[in-house]
Amino acid sequence: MALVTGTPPGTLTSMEDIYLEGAPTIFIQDYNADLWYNPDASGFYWGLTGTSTYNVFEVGCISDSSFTEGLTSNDVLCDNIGVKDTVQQRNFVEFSFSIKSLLPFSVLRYLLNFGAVTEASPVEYMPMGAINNSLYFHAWCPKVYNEDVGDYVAIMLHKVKFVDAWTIGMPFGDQWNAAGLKMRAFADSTIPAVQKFGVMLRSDASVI
Amino acid sequence: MEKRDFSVRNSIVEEEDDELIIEEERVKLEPPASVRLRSQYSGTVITTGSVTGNQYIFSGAGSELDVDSRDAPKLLEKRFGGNSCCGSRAKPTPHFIVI
Repeated sequence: MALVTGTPPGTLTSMEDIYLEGAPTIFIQDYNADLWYNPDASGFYWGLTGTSTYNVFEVGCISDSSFTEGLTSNDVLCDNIGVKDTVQQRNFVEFSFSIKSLLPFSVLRYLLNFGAVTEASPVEYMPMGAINNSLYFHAWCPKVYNEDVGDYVAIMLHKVKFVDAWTIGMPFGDQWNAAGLKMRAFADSTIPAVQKFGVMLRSDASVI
Repeated sequence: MEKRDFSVRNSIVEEEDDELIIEEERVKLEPPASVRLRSQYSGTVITTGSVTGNQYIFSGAGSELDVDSRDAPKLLEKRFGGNSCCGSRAKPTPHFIVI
């Protein structure tokens, strides 16, 4: 007789004892740049590769990061029974974070939706005008969880824009920080529908 | 043992050497008057040449301009951004590259 543990009989998959810790690194690049794998041999679109025209920018010193989604969700309510189902539609996925590295302005301007910078040594100007709503990026957010062998997970978002209002905190005796940054990924109609918002990857040669 | 006569062979070599003498004209290589640089900075860069005092305006990342070769070394030293995170070898990005 089997040991009584409450475990269901039959095929069973349990989750691994690997715990991801800390924020990923966030890289962004102009949406007009081609992805590194566009697509790869498996048909997935991911990765960034920087060029002179389309630099890859690394977002510096991230804190308070979280990854979430925006859903439209409606219950199927039958007045004689109650809720029989819930219909859901994904609207977007979204990275929220704060940063503590605010320089150079040539990168910060994208996160805060400011205008194109001008550098006339030794001054860098960042104009604060209207928001350019046609500015989109690719975002690549890798998190290495085993540095010895290079195992990592990564979130690739194909078409993101920085949305919502930010706040720059300037505390006494502490570093400035830009909080409330939201990097929202919209459906990219140029990518196959199954990965229209993005794709998550896990690279781990010992398991996969 | 037969003694070799090298005199004939030596004369041939001397003849070949005579033929191989090419008059070389010494040409002094001047540095090119201008160098074409491409900006990698995602914004307008207005800069003044450290030697000539010429003003150069790069209109954004990917824009190219011919600059006086005497001004180029200083421009190529310009960097922006910091060191990359988490073991990456990426260093601050050069403002300009030679193309």
